[in-house]
Amino acid sequence: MIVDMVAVFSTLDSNETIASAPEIQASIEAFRLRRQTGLMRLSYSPSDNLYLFFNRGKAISSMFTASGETQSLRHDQWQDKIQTAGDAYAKTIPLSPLGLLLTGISLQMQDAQSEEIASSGDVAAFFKSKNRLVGSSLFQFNWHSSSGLVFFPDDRESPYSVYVSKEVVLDEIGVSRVFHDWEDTNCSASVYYPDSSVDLWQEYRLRRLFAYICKPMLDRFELLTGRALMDSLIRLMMIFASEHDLDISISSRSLVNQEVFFSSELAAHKYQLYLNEIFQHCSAVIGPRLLASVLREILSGLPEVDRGLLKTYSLVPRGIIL
Amino acid sequence: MINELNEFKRSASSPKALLAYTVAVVMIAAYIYFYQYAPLGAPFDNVILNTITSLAALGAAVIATIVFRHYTSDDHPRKIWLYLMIGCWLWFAAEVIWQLYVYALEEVPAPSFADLGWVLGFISFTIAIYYQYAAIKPAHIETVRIYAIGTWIVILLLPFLLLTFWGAFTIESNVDFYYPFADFAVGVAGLALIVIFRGGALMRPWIGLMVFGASDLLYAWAEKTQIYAWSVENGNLLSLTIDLSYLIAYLILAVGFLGQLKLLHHGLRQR
Repeated sequence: MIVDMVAVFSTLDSNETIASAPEIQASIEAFRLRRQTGLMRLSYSPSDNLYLFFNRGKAISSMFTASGETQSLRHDQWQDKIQTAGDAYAKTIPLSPLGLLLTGISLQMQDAQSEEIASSGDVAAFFKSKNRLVGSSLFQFNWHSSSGLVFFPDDRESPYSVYVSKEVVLDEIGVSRVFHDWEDTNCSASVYYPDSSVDLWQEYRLRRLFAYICKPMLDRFELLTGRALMDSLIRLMMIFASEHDLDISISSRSLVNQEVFFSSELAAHKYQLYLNEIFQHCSAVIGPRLLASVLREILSGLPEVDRGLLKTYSLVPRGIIL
Repeated sequence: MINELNEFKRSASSPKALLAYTVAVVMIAAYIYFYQYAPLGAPFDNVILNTITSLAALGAAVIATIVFRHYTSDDHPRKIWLYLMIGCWLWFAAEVIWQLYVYALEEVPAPSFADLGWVLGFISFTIAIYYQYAAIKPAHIETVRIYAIGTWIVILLLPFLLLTFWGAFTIESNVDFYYPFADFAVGVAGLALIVIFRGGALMRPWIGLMVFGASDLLYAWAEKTQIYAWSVENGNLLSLTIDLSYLIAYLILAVGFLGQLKLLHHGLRQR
């Protein structure tokens, strides 16, 4: 059965308290002071919701959904909305950067239709029927008083899931057990696929590309130079990230990206800066020629669509992508 | 090239590097002085000259050992430096043995124990070069191995086959013929590594090896064509150039290793 989609996390639970504009401002201030990453949902009616996205306490984006339509609001617009729209059911949801990004994607995707799922036993079959052989997919579930997202990346990485109910917020790698073990009778589910016209999908793809370039580059650097110089690079990149207010770090041969921008342009710019810094340091040790060769080797396995993205956003120096 | 010059200027400004360069220049100056003016008379001038060369070889071996000790057991470059270190110690041993032969017998037999050190040293350097290429092309490690083994088969077989074909095979001539091929192979491999790492700090340790290849090749050619003996007899600058280039190769090798040690000590520089 096809039903109209309800935006994720818009579901209200009966215990939610109504907050006035000053109380909402106080909650925003609390987010800022705690340098928290997450989402604040302000529900003015079941179909009118204002979503504020925070990264380390800073409001980086906002979206307003009204009758199934989503629009992005500028900083002054959402401030104005809070001041003028009156009381709202307020819910703050701490999320990881990836969880926040996936939530944003689900809100930016407008044309999805959802299907009713009769029981938790049908979820696995739903995943199987909707997952494509190639490409990512983002599943959205809405129950009566809870919502969830399950993301399947297109590479060999593990799925990722976010689940929010009145009692619990789950934000974790893998498909959380709750998606296979629920008793609520009303479950609507929909699926989204990557769409280059959706800015947050582009940011996700840039995020993935960034990791795709960084990881093998760092592995090769360590293979060529050893642990001591790798540690030295890690230290320098930590200083660089701190100077540029980036929460990206390298730890035990892996990249930990705790950054989210809610803008593909900004994400590309920051990733470009970070990569350029890594390349400069690597080049000083292994030389520009070998660096270019290693980069070409890394990028040679990229699908055409990702190569296009690399060119569009100039993530790596010109001349590297053949 | 500008990067390399800037890097040289930067490294030359550090007191330790300055000391190393000064020692190298003093050794070169002393070598030229004793070579050209022979102030002490035979056999002491030769002892001094050979000692200077052995000291340069010792310097390279000691620095290679310190660099090797900087790496942990799971570091890939540790394998490279293990074999560079062994190669350097073998060559240092060969230099000392050769020096003792010269002092005791004047004429060095061929083959001698010194040759054993040089030959084993070449094998060790080949393994170091193999591990370096394995890190550069990890996806083509089998190909790198085939090239390394193939090169050695050619180096060992070609002198033997050519001398047999010419009817001139003796152990002595075979050993004499082996060096130019081994020098050429090591020189080319060193040159290729310099090209690959050009502009990067990892280029430094291989410069010396490349210069070694060229210098040794020059010596082997001059020796084979009797030009070297003629030059020595006539006090010609050619023999000095050839012998000096051998010392300089050791010094460049040592200074290159010192650059690697400095890099490991100080880590990467903040931009």
